[in-house]
Amino acid sequence: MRLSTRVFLAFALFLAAITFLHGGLNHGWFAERTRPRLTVAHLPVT
Amino acid sequence: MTCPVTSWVTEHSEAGTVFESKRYTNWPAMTEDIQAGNLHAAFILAPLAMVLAREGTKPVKIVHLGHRDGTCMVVAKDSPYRTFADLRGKRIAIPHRFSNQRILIERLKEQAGFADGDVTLIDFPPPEMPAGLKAGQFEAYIVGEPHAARAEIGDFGRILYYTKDVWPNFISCVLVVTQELIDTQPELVQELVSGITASGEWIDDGPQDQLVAGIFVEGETPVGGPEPEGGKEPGEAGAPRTLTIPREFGLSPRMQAAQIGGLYYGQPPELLKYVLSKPPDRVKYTDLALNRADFEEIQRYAERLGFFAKRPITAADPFGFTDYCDDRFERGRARSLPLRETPQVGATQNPEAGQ
Repeated sequence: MRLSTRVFLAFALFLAAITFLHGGLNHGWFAERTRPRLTVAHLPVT
Repeated sequence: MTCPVTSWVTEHSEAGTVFESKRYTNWPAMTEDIQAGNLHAAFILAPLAMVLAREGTKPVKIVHLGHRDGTCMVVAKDSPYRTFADLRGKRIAIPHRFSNQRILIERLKEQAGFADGDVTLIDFPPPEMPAGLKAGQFEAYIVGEPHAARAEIGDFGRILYYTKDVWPNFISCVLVVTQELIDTQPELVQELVSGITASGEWIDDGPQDQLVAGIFVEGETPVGGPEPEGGKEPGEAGAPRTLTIPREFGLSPRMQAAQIGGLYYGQPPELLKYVLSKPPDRVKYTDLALNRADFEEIQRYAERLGFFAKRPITAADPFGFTDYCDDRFERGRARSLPLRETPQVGATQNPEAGQ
């Protein structure tokens, strides 16, 4: 295999790994924040 | 208390809606936020909810109760007042002119044979009532807990009446949501109502040997976040994700609720423990369904007292239970709370000591 092909494949592998890692971290970080939220107001009375 | 517990439980669940509790110190600020469209769910006074449903720019509906009873009339500890009749000519603080506490005063006035001007009613923010009594700004006040217990524990106030003794199953606060929320996200309203019901059933009838998610016994290693820090509201960054309870505080659902409520209300858990146990029927969290007869009685008094003066109720412009209540969500699906067995760490002491 030519050196240029090997460099290209290594770079493609590197990009794929970074993308996968970024996606996973992103999902883990934002999963909680994507849950629906609703504010419920109250006074400090029982 | 059902509001903080529901908020805590959803914060500690993996799925579903997170109900974020937001604390206000007075009713006008809360109603302004509802009318401005910035708030879609709130626990507010029952007659005030009716007035908002009748006259508000943002229509709301009552979908559930928050609790029953839990209101007391307080006088100074060393005062001569023993019955309501002794308060003729005196000043009584009420939480709002459109409150069920005011309606209760009207009922007591009728029973004592008072004329309209025989007592002076003063609108006063609930958290400031104990200080007002101590300063002599009025001779009595009527309010939801824990602001009656604060005067008792402070040793300057005495309970003249518990609502459970003068108007059993008294309704103070109700859960309202905007009609817009009902129309656009009914499933979310359903989830909230089911959560409030489940929280109430757990507080009153929950298993005594289980802990709700996020609560640990002293001696356990908390899992799920840092230990509580002071000065942070639940839900805020850096706010407590777990609570550790000393075994001697008590581990029953009511004692766990006292700890959770302490965080959300900014009140000492010991004060809420007192409210929830002295006596235990001082406040109830079951039987929260909307009962037509209860609301019709409140409405009768509300009409008589002129609560709907801006838009009077007439034959041509009627107003009834279904105009301000929507009970369909109470028939929805049940919900259970995330519970686990109480571990036996340091279980040599009486687990319910002090209750």
